[in-house]
Amino acid sequence: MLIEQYYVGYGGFPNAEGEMELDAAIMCGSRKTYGGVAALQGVSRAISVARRVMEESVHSFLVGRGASTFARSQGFEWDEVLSPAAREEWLIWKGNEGKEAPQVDGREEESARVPAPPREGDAAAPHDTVGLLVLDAHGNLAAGTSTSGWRFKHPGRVGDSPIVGSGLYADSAVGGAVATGDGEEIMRVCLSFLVVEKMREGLGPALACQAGIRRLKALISEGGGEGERQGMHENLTVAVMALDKEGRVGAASTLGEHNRHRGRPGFPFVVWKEGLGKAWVEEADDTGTA
Amino acid sequence: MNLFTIIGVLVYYPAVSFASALPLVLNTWSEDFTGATRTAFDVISQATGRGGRLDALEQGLNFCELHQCGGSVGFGGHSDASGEVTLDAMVMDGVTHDVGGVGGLRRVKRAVSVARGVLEHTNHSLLVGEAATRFAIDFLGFEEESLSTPESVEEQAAWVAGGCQPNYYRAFDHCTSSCPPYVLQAPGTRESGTGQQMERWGRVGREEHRPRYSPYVEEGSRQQQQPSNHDTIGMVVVDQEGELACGVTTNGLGHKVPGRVGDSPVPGAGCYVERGVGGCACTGDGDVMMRFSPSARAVMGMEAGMAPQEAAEAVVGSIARYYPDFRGGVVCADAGGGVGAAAWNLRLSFSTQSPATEGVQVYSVTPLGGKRGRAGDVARVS
Repeated sequence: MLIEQYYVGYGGFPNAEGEMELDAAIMCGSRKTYGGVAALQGVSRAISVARRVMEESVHSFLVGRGASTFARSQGFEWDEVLSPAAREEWLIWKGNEGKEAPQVDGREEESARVPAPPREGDAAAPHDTVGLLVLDAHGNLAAGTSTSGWRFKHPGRVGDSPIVGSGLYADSAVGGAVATGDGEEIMRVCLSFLVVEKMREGLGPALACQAGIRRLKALISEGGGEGERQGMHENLTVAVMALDKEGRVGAASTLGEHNRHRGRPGFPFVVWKEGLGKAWVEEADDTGTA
Repeated sequence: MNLFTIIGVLVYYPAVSFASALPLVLNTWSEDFTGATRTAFDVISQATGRGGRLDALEQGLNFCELHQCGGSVGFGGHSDASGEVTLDAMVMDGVTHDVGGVGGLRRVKRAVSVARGVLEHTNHSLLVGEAATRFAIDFLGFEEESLSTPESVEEQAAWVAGGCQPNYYRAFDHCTSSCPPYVLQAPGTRESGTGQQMERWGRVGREEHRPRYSPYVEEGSRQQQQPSNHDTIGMVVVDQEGELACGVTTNGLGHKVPGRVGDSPVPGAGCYVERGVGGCACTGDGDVMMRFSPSARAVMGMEAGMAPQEAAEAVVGSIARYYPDFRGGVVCADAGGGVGAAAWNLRLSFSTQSPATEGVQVYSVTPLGGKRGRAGDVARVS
């Protein structure tokens, strides 16, 4: 691989047309404020723009060109978000005409113009969103996400990350959650919101995350009696982590021995707590972790 | 039903349990919006299956997109601050939870059909902006056409002539007195820090240059004279077998900041459906409502055993606890054909059609709380 692949900000992968389109969102759980940007071009610090949307705009969610214009008006300068290495990868992909799989059904002849998502289980093509949950000393919870989305995605595609309720949710009275993985699948069940609601019902963060993952798996295995589920993700790769108002953390994922991601059978996440002096890594597999 | 029940008085709106056979179409708003209800019902009474449900939604919502229901659906209304009309739409199927949505769609009239195209012809769930338009035109064969009309151009001109007031920009120099573009206020004079939004919402009533936070706020324009001065059309369809789908389409807020997307194309916010449970759709201040995933929450409430009416009221109440000034409403249907609705600061109406209703039936919803009502008032005891 030419570059260590991370699907966040500068150095992430562009869309099918070689343009970087970033998605990010932030939510504060005490006053239920939220700001999101999607398909943002020309600014690396997408999460900072999302924060400006939250704090400086009456709106909650800005997309596309309008999001870039807003960022510019807020004083963000034009960045080259596409790294030379990512551009090179894109050129190679483009040289192959993106033929891994046609992304638009029934239009195979168009596939040369259409991006293909990375194949599932292809360890060389992981997908990651950075998701962060924070609880301050006063009990205020916040959640944030940022990603460049699927490698060589269809232009304009927006995944779960900037979507309130799907990629992130925070309610200081209960807890917060962030999700990562197959965005289209996460959006089916509003996964982060679902996990927070499970915590509202009294489940701890780990159990709530497991309940959310179980719900998603059940939905996908049901597949719809009428067939033709429109999933792009045959091998479901989703993880969700949660933090409750007491400061307890938990996570669950669909990863396991049979569905490794970056070569790992589990979903690693990092925890830092005041007074403990250092951060530590935990890992959640398909059975979850406490 | 008295539409003018005094705001702020705790009103027990009788739990709506209109017994109704299936199939059922539930749709926000009345007047011209009922044409969409009728159109969708005509389709769903002849068809089942996912295709039938999506056909019903698409044709019903297309009706309003092409008839410009309320001036707030489809082309020719509520242009953004740059004068361009952009559309948001979504469809969701209850069996598979497949979602298709478009945000900020430009130059294509039938937004919900494009949303369905995203659902059926891509592996994605949401496409936004110019790229969504390109997808619609290049891949789905939609006609590229201007969404402006002489009326929308005139409305925009009047707004510009009035110094672009009110608008949705904040913390820019001269944004309360002149037209964009604006220059950011110097850091020293700017409000900063977290939690501004709550304060801002709390402050709405006191500001002279009050931004028009929602299309419902009266202003001395065409808006005021329009009888149906409201926005999103949201529809839930239950087919003869009790399977559900929902859809939403809107042109958003008038004079919105370009790029703004509200709750409509956001799954769990604009609408949500759950097999065997029910479906809900929302209308109102999308910027605020989407923070509560209101449709998903109401559906989860029904899943936990609430009636549609209870679930809708619970959601509206939970939003009002944070944002007592918000305007919005939720309509819900369960898989058996029961319906309910609740609204805040808003005279919501909705319509249904089923074999039991003999044509389209229209209901008005007494707001649970209002301008001077305290948020706590909404907690109806069930």
